[in-house]
Order: sequence, then C-alpha cells, then structure tokens
Amino acid sequence: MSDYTQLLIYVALGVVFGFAALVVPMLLSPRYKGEKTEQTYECGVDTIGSAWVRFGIAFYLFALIFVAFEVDILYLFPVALVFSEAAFGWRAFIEVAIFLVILSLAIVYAWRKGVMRWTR
Amino acid sequence: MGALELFLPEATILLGAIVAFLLSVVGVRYRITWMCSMVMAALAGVTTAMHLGAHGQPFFPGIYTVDALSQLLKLGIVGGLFMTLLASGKLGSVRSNVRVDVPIYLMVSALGMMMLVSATELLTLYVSLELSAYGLYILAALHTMRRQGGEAAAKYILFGAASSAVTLYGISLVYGGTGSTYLSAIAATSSPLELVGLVLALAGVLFKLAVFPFHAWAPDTYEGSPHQSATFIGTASKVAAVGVLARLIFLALPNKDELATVLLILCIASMTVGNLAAIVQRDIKRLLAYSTVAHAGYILIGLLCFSKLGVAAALFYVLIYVPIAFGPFLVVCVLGADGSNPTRASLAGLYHRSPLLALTLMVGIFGLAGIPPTAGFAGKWFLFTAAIEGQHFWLVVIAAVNVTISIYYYLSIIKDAYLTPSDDDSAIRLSPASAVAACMSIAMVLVAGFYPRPLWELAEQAAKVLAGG
Repeated sequence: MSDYTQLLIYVALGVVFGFAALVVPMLLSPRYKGEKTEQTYECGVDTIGSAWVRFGIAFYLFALIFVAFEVDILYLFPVALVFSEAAFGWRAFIEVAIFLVILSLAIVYAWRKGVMRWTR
Repeated sequence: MGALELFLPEATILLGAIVAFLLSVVGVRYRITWMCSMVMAALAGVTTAMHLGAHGQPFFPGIYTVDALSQLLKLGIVGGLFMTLLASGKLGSVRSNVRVDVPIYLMVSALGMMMLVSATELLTLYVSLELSAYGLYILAALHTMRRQGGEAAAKYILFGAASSAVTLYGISLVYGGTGSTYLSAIAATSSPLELVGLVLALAGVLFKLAVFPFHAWAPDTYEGSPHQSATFIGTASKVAAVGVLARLIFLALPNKDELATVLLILCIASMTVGNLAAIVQRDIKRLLAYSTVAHAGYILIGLLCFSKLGVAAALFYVLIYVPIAFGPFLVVCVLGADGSNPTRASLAGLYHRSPLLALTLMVGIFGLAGIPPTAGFAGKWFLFTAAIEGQHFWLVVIAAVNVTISIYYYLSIIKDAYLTPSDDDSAIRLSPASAVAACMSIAMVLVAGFYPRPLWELAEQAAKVLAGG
C-alpha cells in the first residue's frame, strides 16, 4: 500500500504545482496596462492595418512548401559545421544526400501536382 | 541473419511506397500505379511468409525486435493491405485528382503498422504509431463528398491527436517510474507509477482499436471516408493495434490484476455499446463500425487473461478478423462504386443481382456472428476457452449474451441480401480483381474455420514470446 501512497503524493503535488503556477505569478507579477496591451501581437513590430484583408490562398500553399525547404536547411547546419573535418567521409556525404533527396521529394511532389502554378 | 534480411518485408513495402510515389509524380494512369502496388504488396506478402520464423534485432539492440509475434502480425497487415488494394480497382468514392495517391498512403501506413508490431522501445513505438496514423488521416479525407469527407477526417485526426497526447504523457510517466524506455527494462521493474503510465499509454492503441471510450470517431469516420480507406482502417490497422496492445499490457505482468480489471471494464463496455448501437444503424458502414467496436471487446477478452492461451486466442481472432471483415467491406466497395454509401435498403435483391457478392457477404457476416463452419466460430471458441481457463466465467456469459444480440442485426443483413425482393434486378458486374478478392475472403474464412490448426499453432508460438511456456 505504501507504493500507492507515493503515487497519491505524486498526484497531489502535481495538482498543487498546477495551481501554484497560476497563483504565484498572480501575487508577485507587476500589473501594467498600456496602449500596446490591447494589440493583436503585443510584441515585435507595430501592427499595420486590419487583420481582415483578403489575400490569395496560394500564399498558404507556398508557406507549406517553404517549410519543406526550411527543414532541409535546419538539418544542414550541423553537417556544415563538421564538413571540413577528416572524419566526414563519403559514407556520411551519401547519407546526407539521401536525406536531402527524401526531403526534396516533397517539393517535387508539390511541383508536379501544380502547386507552383499561380492561379487566383 | 543480416539486418536487411530481417527487415526485408518492411523494405519491400517501403520500396512499394517509393515506386507508387514516383509513378504518381511522373503522372501515369491510376490503373498502372494500382497494378504496380499490388505486385509490391504481393511480393511483401511472400517475403513475410518466408520470414515467419525469423527472429533477431536488425538495428540498434533492443529497439526493434523481429520475433514470432511480429512476423505473424506482419502477415496479417500485408494480407489486409493486399486485399484492400484488390478492392481498389475502381475508386469511385475518391476524388478523381487524388486517386493516384491512394496506394502511397496505404503503403506508408502499412509500413508504419509493420514497424509498430516490431517496436520494442517506447519512442520507436510512438513514432511508428504516428507513421501508421498519418496515412490513415489522409486516406479518410479523400471522399468525393467534400463536406462529409472533411468531417470524417477532422473527427479522426482530432481524436487521434488527443489520444496521442495522452499516450505521450503515459510514456513520460513510465519513463519517470522506471528510468528506461526499453520494453525489456520496463518489464523487469514494477511500480504503481509505471502502471498508471502504462494505462495512459494504452490510450493511443485503444483508440486505433476503437475500444469503448475511444470509439466515438469510428462510425463517423467510416461513414465519411472512402470505402477503401474504411476497409483498410477496419482490417489491417486492428491487427497492428492488437499486436502492440499485447506487448504493452505484458509489461505490467507483476500488477496484472489491476490492469485486468481496467481491461475487463473496457471489454464489457465495448461489447455492449458496440452491439446495441449497431442494431439501429441503416448505413452499412456505420453498422460495420459499431460491429468493430464490439469485436475489439471480444479481442480484449483474450488479452485480459494474461495467459499464453489468451494471447494466442486474441492473435488468432484478429488475424481471421481481417478476411472476415473484408467480406462485408468488399460488398460496400462494389455496391458503392459510384461514391454513395450503401444502406440496408440497397442490399435488397443482392442475391439475384450478384450471387458471388451475396455469398461473400453471407460468409463474412456469419464469420462476424461466429456461426460454426466459419473461422469466426473457431476464434470465439478459443477466446471463450481462454476466458474460462482464466476463471472469467461471468465474462463469458456476458460475451455470449452479446453474441446473441449481434446475431439479430447480422442476420437481418443476410435477410436483406437474400430474401427482400428488389425492383432493380440489373446484374452487378464484378471486376476480375474484386472477384478474386471475394473468393480469397470466402476461402480464407472457410478454410480457417474447418481447419484452424496451422494458424492456431502459429498464434501459440507467437504468444510464447510474451507469455512464455
């Protein structure tokens, strides 16, 4: 039964922690309300115009394809760091090449299925 | 044996997926992609059958295990894939511009399922679970009726995402409780935290199997997804789910009484809810969905015994469930070739319109109901024997009552197909592939019913992996 007491303590601590994360900032954090608090994006650049503008749905598909490109690049940074070292042989090069080919297939697919054609 | 040789069945399916992808990108006609995919699936079936007795760990030790259990289930998955492909000659319910892509998703999903039954490390298991699910999410969304297809896919993916989240939380608790994600290391320890984590981790698998509290997606998804997608979700994915469920619950062997109680409640609820809800359905696919929920309950009977006999019975049942459930689904694929969903009313006069199709339906439905000459009877016999041996007498009584309830709606389907007259007497022409699929389904159900021994022995050997002895 002592095993289950442990579990009970664990669950109780979990509940306490959950509430603590809400209550403690409520007590400690400074209160401030200004002009920027009400903006859609409270950080970064100032918002220009309304969010209710119409734009081509094609942008959405382009954004998705961009992600495929971006994932390629993300994984290439660590490879670039060790590329000049002697231990980086042909085997590693081919492995990276296979990886890139697989990721590029997403772009080839989108290309062939006509996503790149700009229709409005 | 070398790593590649152990991985050959999966590698064949992977190659098939790549071939289907390239054909789709090059832009050949659907018929050619379809035939190439069938050849690859058949090849994978042959390699799987040749590697039935293989065992070993092709990659990093402990992560991916090839054993009797995984190989037997892979045979069921590839069988389900092949039969689904046979029924996919005319994809009337799939939007015409995406038809060429269907074999890709079927193959990738089958690859995920095959990896799922071999995974013996929790993160590998989770990744395989997601790999198999993503293909199915897309397959569910391809219906010609965009509104219904969207609803089907949205319900499937939202329920799937929620149960994945619970699974991941469960895995984190198991890791917290045991300090390892390897199944072999987890099985060696026991703590209440691990048990709680395991029960949560089961959510993702029970979702795939559509067990009672995780079943809400099934009817809507079956109804709104293309017939072939529903066929694949309703056959092959169940095999994978049972395999991984068996592996996971045997991790909690020291605490088996607690886990057995949880499974017992889910089992009774699944059987009862599934069977009672199926009675009022008019749409055949919805009816089959609720019948799947009930059958998930029957399979749990075997698993909650925690014995070799019980696991073997559950494996046997899910393997014969593939050809049994395929029969009615094939009828749906053929009758709904124009994209509509067949209802009970559209079965009227089926016997006069296509005797072979009516026979497929009858054998399949008799199998689901568990009527003697079919494999469904053998499967239920093994399950109930295992339950009685495990001292679950009342469970067998409840299950028997449920089987009786189910016979009511199963037999009324047969009545619609054979006895109800219809104004439309035009003969249904079966394509050669569909006719082959129909004959395969009938033959498998009857052969495994008359002579269950070879399959039962394979299932027993697979069960030895988990339950020893």
